[in-house]
Amino acid sequence: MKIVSPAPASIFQVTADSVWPAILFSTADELQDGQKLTWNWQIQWRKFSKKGTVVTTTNTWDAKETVEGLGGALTVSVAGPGGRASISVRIAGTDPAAADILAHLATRPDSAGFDKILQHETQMTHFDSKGQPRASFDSGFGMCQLTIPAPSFEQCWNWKLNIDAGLALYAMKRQAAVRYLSQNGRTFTDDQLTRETIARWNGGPYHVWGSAQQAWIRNPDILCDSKTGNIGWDLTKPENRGKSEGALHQRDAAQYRHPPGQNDCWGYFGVCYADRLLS
Amino acid sequence: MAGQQPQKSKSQIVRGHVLALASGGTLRYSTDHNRTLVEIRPAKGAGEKMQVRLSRDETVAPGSRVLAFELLAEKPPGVYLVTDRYASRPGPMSYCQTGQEQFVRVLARAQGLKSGLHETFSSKVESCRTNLELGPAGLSWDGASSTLTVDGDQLKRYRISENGLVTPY
Repeated sequence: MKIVSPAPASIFQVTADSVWPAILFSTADELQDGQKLTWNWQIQWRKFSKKGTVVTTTNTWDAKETVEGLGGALTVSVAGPGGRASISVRIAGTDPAAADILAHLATRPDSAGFDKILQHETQMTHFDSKGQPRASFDSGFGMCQLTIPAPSFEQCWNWKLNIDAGLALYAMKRQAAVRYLSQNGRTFTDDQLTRETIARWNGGPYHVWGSAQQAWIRNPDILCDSKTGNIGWDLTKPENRGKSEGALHQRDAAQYRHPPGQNDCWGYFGVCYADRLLS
Repeated sequence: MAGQQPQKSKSQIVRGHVLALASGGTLRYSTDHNRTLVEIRPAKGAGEKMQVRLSRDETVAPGSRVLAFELLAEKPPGVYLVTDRYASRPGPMSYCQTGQEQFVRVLARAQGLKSGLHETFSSKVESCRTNLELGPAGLSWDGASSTLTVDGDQLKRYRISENGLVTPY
């Protein structure tokens, strides 16, 4: 038996809109009435793997529905009256356009601000140059670098599912932000909610209640280093009090390549993270 | 994971901090690998040094130093209500990179143990990783009724006995 299509090592490209292509396998044999072909398939990418068996009464099989949502190396073995044959092909992804990502986010409730995080952290890219989901050093996969909870095979390969999983984490921060900002019947704006949510994503609240203003105000005790992602200074520390951003940057910037230590006067702040993303 | 670097596990005990006890003596806390070492040195002549190693959980950044440690109450003869806070284990996309994880615990003298001290109660009260937050009332202790109140998602009350056993009610 011989598999006549596709050619070995063919690459099948998932579209930017996460539509899986037809992956048609054909043998040279013509089957008689009652004859069948048994197709054993396995798809593998990194630690993820799925396999199964499909039986056809013709000499072709389209794997599209079977492997929809999955990518990586697809190996197919076929057995029938004419003998056996096997082939390996590859399924690769295509990065969506930023406009498509924004359009997807717009269909999801409570997602305001999440696009800023995606842009800042992964530049809204899901696949690497070889069409594989991008992976971080700690096995975070895809645009949202999902680690814990561990992503499914499908969440690694389908950028929409990947974003939805990241949004689930974001939604919990947004709920916490709403609880915080609405305490004691206080009111807040959409912008304040977005800043509060993004700050909490990175860690800690953004606003404090201003008694004089009778409104939520940005925490005045945190001064950010506008040249960095989320580095800043706690102005309640005597070492920082009364100093300008420029002076503090000049004093501490040489230490930024290591995480802040117990005795450092600078640190990472969710407030600065939100300011940076929303500036 | 912009701007994020994994924290390395310390291979030695990090220099500790010391709190004074109302009963005399001191409470010292330090980081010992991924645990928190608490040592209680009673006032002179009031007994032997006691210690216990407190576990953290998977939400705490490996090797995190103790960011804050507070003795909420001391209940004679040898029960200590404490709260301890650590850096969160950072997640993807700078998630909880600057977050914190906080526990409340009860430590009690244990006559039969060589270490002299054991942990009878531990509860997570704040967590960036699991979205736990304390309410405005936070943690409070009522010495008269030996009651710990935790203002979290729900108001929880715990009664702490003479030997450190904790009963929710």
